[in-house]
Amino acid sequence: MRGTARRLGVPGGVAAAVVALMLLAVVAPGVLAPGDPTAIDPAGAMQAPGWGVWFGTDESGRDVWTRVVHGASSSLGVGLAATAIGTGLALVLGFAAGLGPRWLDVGVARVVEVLYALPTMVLALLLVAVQGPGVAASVLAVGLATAPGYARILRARARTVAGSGYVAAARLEGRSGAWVLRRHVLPNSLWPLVAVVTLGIGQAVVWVAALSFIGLGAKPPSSEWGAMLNAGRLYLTTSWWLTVCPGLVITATAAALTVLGRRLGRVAS
Amino acid sequence: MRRPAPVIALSALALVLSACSGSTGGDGEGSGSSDPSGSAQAGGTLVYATGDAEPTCLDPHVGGNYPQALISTQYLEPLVGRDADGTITPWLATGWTVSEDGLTWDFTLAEGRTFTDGTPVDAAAVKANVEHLQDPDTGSSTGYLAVGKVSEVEVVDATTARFHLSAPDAALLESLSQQWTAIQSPAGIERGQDANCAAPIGTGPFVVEAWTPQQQVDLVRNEDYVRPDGTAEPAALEGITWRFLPDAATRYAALGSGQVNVIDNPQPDSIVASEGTDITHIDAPRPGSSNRIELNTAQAPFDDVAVREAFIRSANPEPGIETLFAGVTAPSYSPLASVEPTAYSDESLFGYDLDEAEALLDGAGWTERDADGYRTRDGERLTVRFPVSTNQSVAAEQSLFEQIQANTRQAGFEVVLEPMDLSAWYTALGENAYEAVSAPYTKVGPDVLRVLYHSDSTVPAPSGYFANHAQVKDPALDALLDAASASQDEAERADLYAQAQAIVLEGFYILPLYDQQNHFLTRGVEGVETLGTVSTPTFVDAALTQS
Amino acid sequence: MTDVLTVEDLHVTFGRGAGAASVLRGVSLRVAPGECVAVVGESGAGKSVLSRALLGLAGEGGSTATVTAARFDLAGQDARDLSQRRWRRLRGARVGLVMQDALGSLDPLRTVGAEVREALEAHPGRRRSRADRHEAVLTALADAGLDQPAVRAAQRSGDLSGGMRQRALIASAIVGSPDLLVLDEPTTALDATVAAGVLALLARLRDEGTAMILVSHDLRAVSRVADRVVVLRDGVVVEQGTTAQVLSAPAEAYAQRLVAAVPRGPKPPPATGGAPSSPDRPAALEGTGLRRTYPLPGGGALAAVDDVSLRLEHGRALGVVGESGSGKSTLARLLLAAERPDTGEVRRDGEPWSSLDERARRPLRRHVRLVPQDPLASTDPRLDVGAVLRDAITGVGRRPERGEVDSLLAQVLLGPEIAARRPRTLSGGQRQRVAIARALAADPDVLVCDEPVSALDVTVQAEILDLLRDLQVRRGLSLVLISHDLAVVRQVCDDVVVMKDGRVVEHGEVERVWADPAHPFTRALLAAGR
Repeated sequence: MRGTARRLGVPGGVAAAVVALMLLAVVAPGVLAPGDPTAIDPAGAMQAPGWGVWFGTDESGRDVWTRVVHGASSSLGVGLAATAIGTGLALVLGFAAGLGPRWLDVGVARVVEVLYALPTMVLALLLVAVQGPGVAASVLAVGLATAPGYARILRARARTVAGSGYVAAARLEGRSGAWVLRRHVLPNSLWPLVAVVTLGIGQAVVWVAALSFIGLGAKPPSSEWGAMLNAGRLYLTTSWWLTVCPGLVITATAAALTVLGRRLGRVAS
Repeated sequence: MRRPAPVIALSALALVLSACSGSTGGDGEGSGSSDPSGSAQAGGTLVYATGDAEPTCLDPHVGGNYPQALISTQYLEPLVGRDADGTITPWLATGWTVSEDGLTWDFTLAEGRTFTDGTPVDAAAVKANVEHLQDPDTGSSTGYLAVGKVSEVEVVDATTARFHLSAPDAALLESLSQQWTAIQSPAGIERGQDANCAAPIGTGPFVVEAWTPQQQVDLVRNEDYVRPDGTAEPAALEGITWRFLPDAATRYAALGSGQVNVIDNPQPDSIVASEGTDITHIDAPRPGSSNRIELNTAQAPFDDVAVREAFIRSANPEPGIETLFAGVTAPSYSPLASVEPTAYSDESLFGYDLDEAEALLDGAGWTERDADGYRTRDGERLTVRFPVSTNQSVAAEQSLFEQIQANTRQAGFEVVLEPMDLSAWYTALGENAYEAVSAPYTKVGPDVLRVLYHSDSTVPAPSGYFANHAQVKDPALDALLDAASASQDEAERADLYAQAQAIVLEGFYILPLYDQQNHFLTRGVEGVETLGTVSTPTFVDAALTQS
Repeated sequence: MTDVLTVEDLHVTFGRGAGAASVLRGVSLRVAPGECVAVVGESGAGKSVLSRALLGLAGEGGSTATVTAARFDLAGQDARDLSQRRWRRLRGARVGLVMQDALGSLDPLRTVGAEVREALEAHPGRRRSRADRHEAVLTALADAGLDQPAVRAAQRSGDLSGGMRQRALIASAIVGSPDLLVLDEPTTALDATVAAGVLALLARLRDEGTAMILVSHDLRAVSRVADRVVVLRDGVVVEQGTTAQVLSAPAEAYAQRLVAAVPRGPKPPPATGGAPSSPDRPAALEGTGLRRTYPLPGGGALAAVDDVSLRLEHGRALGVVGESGSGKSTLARLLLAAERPDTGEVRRDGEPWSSLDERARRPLRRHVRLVPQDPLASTDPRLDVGAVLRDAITGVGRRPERGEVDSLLAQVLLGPEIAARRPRTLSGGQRQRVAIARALAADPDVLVCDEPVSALDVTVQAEILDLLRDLQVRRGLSLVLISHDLAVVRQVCDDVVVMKDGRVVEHGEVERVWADPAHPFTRALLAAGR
């Protein structure tokens, strides 16, 4: 564990700390911001950031810091959920294509290509259009949209592992296909995915925020970051903190997850 | 020009009313002072950026909402006008008379007027327009209600159209002054709805040239334009580019950068920020209804007056109105716009009182609280579905709804705000999938009360729309509204409308918020005026200024 | 006559400061015209760096190199402070380089003639007409021993065999008539009979007056062409002298070990008499009429193994010798039942083996184990040695006993600390030992070793062969040893089959074949390896 920490380096350590802080905000937002994220105070609206109001207040006098902290669960939650859907689907598709018979590989490849050809946001918008806006729809949409990418990685990885010398050696040692799958193919295929998925969560957070930003995601008074960004945008010229603060948090989260993902990938290989 | 007594009396009332809204009509004074260095010039194309929804049809007969009124003001004209002080004025009709029983109206049309396709503006055209409004296939809702009492239009001769009414209608002239009953070429109508929606043919100062959906409508000058007073004088502008820019911040930025000359629906903070710059502010509150939240009495929980009162007592919108609207509007306690002289207010009904709200809810059986702190009754949560049309509510208003959501939560209401576009919003209303809704309704005069609160208005118009979202069905109220509509006596009408408004307010059917906001910001243009009818801007005398 | 190359006290260091790695430390070297000096040593000795440094290419490949020397005279010039530009002029014209990787050194999209001509055109000093240049290219190709030089010049590298490609490279090195040729492992990737031809070509060029530096790990190859031998170890010259002197009577300890490790001599007779092969007992593995074909990309089929029959008796070691493409690896896979023969059958202990359903064969696989050529690729990179060995034990349905992993490691002469290491952190020899331990974990009857030492340095190779021979005898294992090197087989095996083009061309006891090869191919193989 200490070896891992050392290999993460300073940027990786900072990224890990940021992610840890985010996780704390998800699990126990009250620790970081004891207030009520929906409590309004029209008299105290549009306060600039300052002592006690770190991120300022919005047009209804709600504390932006409190809202950002309490919004972590929905923002990161949707990022996680979307990525979980994406990877779950990718596991099925990727392993079916990578390890299954040839016709299945060809079939899945077509599906993945079609999904891949559609830009993520277009696919997401399509699904939202069919399903109606909302958090569930955007999570599903982003999940579906990211699945092809993961599926491709998994398929390629599963094929490489399945064709590897150590799998062949295990089969020659009389191991069953199931045992080889469990012992070699799954762990060796999934481990590289950990880094990619960490990157993907950051990306998914941004995408879901983007959907909320264009009004297709979280509903008021949710303090999902994208929705906050959207609401604050109207006051950009007069009250910059309404966009800059949640925007910075989205950026920091995505950046931290990206750095962490890259570092993990490097540690893994 | 014959002007019978009742009509003059009405106009006088409107005069009194318009004194309250001195800023109606930018009328050159604002633009002249704001841009001293600029000089007006003929020609050029004005760019108008609207935040209202893009109409699905440019013919305001079809459906009939405010965005249609806004744009059709540029190319369609009504039978009569209404000037800034509220006087009904001649427009396509040069004069009119009404019979003693109030059931027969004769309108005289100017001679020699033609639509831009060459079709004459005659009695037959007027008859065709009224029939078009009343044809269920047209799918009219606003205009349909406005001519609801017209049983037939008789073509007496080419310049005389006789309206036969089923019942006296004191609001007929006001109804006919609105853009939703504007007169268009019967030849245009006969092209069929698709073609007519794409480019209605009228008599206005501009003509629809092209419509690029999701983007803009291009309007060009009507070179043969004849003004209401009979003089032939086209507009100074060569054309108008009517752009759809749903995002308020983008619109304001476009105005500041000079990409557009006029924007509507600005954010209150933008209005405040524009003070002292070369941007001119036109404040033209819409007539008719105030902006209010209607509570759906047709189903639980708002079928119970105690629950409605509890909601209204706990909503506490005033501090939010004060900060969110930055002083550009004041709270309302009336069903009618403050520009309506018959508006009746009762502030005492809307005082914030959380304890009272709690007591009312306890009394109504909503005694339990669930894990999230919301009240429940028989295991059912006290939920208020609130579809919000993002096209019709500026961000400040949506923020206000969020504050009401937070405030009523203290009493145990779960308000579910559902932002959606206009078509989804119409669908939600049609499916009765709402407990609260804020639906602006613009109509000239207090007769709007009949549209919004008469039990007849719970029956959908041919378009499927019904205006009585609170679904008020009160025979006493219906009787008052019917009587007011039939009465030719101003004092009696004012009294009847006051009684009707008292019933609406005391029944806690609505939570009034403020006047229907109707602000325009202009830059690099002068001579922009708003009509005295539904406060839509006209650019017939507008000219771009050099800068 | 003055020396073509004189180097004194050459130092090459990569990197700077604390992380600097000194690769060559005080190397001195002289080469006279018509002389071939061999530089030998094991991997990591600095051979390749030396050959690149002699062409002014030490810094190629990304890392910065610092080169210093007391003297560095090349073809009459002081090469110590030459600019890159001058070096380019020198290369090809005065000194030519032939690299090991013939395929990688040739552009697959250009003809061989163009490649060779380019080497000629790199020298602005000698302008020639187009016809002259073409003539020079054909001459060089012919000098490099390629038949039909005009045809070869029009072909691309993909159309040529490995030996031809190596000759083409030599042609482009000699087309400029350089004074010195530097050859870096020129025969390592080649089959023995092909390598013999290339070495003969080098000997001819040397006799015609070209000075040569031959960098190689293969002492046998060196002995055929080199006049003098320089033994390099860890960047230091530990011994040099005439070829005969160094190879027959090395003075320095490391040189002695290196020379001793060259496989030579027969398998020592077993001390305990070995396992007698009883004619009544069925063979440990017996293949009859084995045939295995693979479809070719352009249609048709290649018979990798064609009508092969062989018997592996209990307790005996059988060598399978052949060049690349001879079908020996396919044969190994058939014996392992990794593949099913198209026709014919492999039987184990007289019972069906290749014809069994995989499900039925799975429990029997513990009896036949593979020692692969590349042990690193055969182990899961996530697992450490201990886990690999425990997997091998549980694979035969046993729970690992206390200390069993350690004792397995001890059998292959590795310490228990190896258990915690991952295979990629081990040396080549250690990895191969782990692979053998892994095979032994199942307590098999038959061990199939597929080129187990071909990737190893010669001293390590000798250790592994010793270990294999020892285990085979001590545990009475039946052993199949696949190798391209008859001398390797001779050290371990009792019997041998010689394969060529998928067929067995000779079959018999190793010593009989060694002493009296019956088939011409066997004779060629033996001649090439001696």
